[in-house]
Amino acid sequence: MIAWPVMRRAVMRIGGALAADRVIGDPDDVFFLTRAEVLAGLESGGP
Amino acid sequence: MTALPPDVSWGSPARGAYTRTLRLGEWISGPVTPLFESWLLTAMEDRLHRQLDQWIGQRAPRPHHVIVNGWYFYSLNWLGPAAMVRSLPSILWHLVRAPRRVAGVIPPTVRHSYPLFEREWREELLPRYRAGVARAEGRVDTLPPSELPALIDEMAALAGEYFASIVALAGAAYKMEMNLARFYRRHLGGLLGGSHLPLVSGFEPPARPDAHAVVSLDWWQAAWPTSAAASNASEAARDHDRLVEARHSASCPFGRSRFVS
Repeated sequence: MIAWPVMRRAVMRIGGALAADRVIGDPDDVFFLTRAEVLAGLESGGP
Repeated sequence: MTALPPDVSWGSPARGAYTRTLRLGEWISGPVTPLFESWLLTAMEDRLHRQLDQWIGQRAPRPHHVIVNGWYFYSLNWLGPAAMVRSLPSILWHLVRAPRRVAGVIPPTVRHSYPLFEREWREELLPRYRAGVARAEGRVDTLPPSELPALIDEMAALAGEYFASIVALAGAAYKMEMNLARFYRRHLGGLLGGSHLPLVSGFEPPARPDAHAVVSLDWWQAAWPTSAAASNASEAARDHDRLVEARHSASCPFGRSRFVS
């Protein structure tokens, strides 16, 4: 699946943004959120 | 040890039949993260089933999967009697409107659908998928984080559409093998004994496959590199050599001179 690497980069950038906003402790923690929690975190700064 | 771990239940959280040995389940070799399950898996399954509905009129009830103790199980409930009855009018309508696509569902007629799906994959889907990924690669490092979910949604939908094509073609492969098995049993089994299986085994893997590659229609997958796997490597090589020899013998049961002048 050739889309995997680009999707992973996008997720890691989202993880970095959420960690910078102190929504999660570490960018890798993004994988333990759900899609709804990620969207809420990006929108409001908290999952 | 001062206490036993609690009992683990493997019961399904939803009614119906679920399996790990079909479609996406075959590719997922470990527990899944909440993000993977709730985003990529869900989006790919939605696109897969929308595509199957569009192609052949098959409608799948939700949920398309369940997660049990972190492991993914794919729903077989589209095969249930109630789901089949609900899909039947739509499938019959597609049978009239697009008979070559519906032919792919039935083993004796699958050879009529295979070229259609193969041509679409080669000429339309693969170039579109590659172009979409190339566009995304050009944007993924510069888009603001708030716009990245839309990019992921777009890629997940494309991946789901691509997976639907794999399902159609890989499904055709096993159905064509059923035809080979029937032919062998009817015309050769009485004379040669055995089965068709040596004819479809013992093929060489590619010289340098990626670690995650699935490289043949028979789902050859490289084992995860473990010390146990390494110690068994010579035994595996011998097993493979035996399969190759069996296939060569089955391909030419009376000796080459009988067929080659």
